Amino acid sequence: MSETKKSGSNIAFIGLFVTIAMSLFTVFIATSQKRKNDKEAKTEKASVAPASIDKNPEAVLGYQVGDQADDFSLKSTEGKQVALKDYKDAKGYLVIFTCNHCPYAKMYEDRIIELHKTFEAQGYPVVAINPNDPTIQPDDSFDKMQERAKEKSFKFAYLFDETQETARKFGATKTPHVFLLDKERKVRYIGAIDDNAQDASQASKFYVADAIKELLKGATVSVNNTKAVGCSIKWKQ
Amino acid sequence: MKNFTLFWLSCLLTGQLYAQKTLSLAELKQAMDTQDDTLRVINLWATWCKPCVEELPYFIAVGKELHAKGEKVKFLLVAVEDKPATVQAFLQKKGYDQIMNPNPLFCVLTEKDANVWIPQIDAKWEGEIPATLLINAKQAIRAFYPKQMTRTELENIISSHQKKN
Repeated sequence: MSETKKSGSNIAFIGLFVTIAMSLFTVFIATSQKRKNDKEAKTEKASVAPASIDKNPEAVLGYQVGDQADDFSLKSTEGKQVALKDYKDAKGYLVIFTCNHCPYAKMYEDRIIELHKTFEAQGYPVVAINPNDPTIQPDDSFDKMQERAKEKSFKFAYLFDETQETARKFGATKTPHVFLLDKERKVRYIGAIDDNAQDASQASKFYVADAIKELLKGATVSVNNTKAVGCSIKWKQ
Repeated sequence: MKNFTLFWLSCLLTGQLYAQKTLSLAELKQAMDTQDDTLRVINLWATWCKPCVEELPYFIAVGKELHAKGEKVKFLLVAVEDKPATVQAFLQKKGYDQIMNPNPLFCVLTEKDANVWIPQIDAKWEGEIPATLLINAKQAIRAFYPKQMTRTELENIISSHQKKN
């Protein structure tokens, strides 16, 4: 009788031991798996960076808000070289990377014309730059730019960044891509024109207009970086 | 609402849906955060984006091929800044609406505020498309390619992330 009882408690003891051992083992496995995952996550991070800078190593290192942009000298559709220093009366510059072909840039074309109409007189002219390689996108050739500027009677300079050096320096990645600079060419805003590309009448946040208004009041730009969809810049291969 | 979300999630997991559906940002996030062993290839495209339309056939072909091999890779082809009706007409015209799932799954993102959803895909991304995200939350895989792909490039990035399984 006592024999049976004793072996019963032995079984219970072994059972308890096995349970504890199994739990410990599970914890060990889980921990090592987590370590492995963490390690992989780190490896992953390291491998992501080269992927994103694959095609345009300079773009990732482009200007941030607060940086001072370099001036440039690019050929306009009117056939003359245009630099920011040529705008003697400007209080700042609304540099917009845009192009002919991109349907998304086209949706904003009339709004870009309006921005120039509204803000040039107040010291913030639009300076439009086409950064695309026309061998990849023939609609963005200099000839086609001239045609478009004439058709839409652009009152602002529409410049061709043939070497793509300016787009790379700025860190432009898409069209349209806005960089608002002040008189000292300090970047004060980067991003979208407003929050509704497809329907101008439905836009509720007018990022660029609001930023210029704030600068005109001598205030800092409250929303100085926004994201929007756009066409990838066609970089030279 | 919760039931619907669960339904959607199970569709994403099992791939029972086909042709084009709308997708909210929450649903997209759910697909991105799923804790399983399936690698998700999320392509951001639009009917108006020429390079996007050029690379779509590669995603469809590779998706079908991997599915036939029984590989744990799911393709989610998310149209952004596009109207559902426009996307549907496009899919019909291309015959993509005839593709039976599980791979690939076409859908249209309903979130309108780009400033909200773009950083959710990748914090450093400015929003240029095409763009492709490879993700598996459980295995901490997250690789982002904001560029147009060739078929070979697509196959290579997928296999390089599959090896970690």
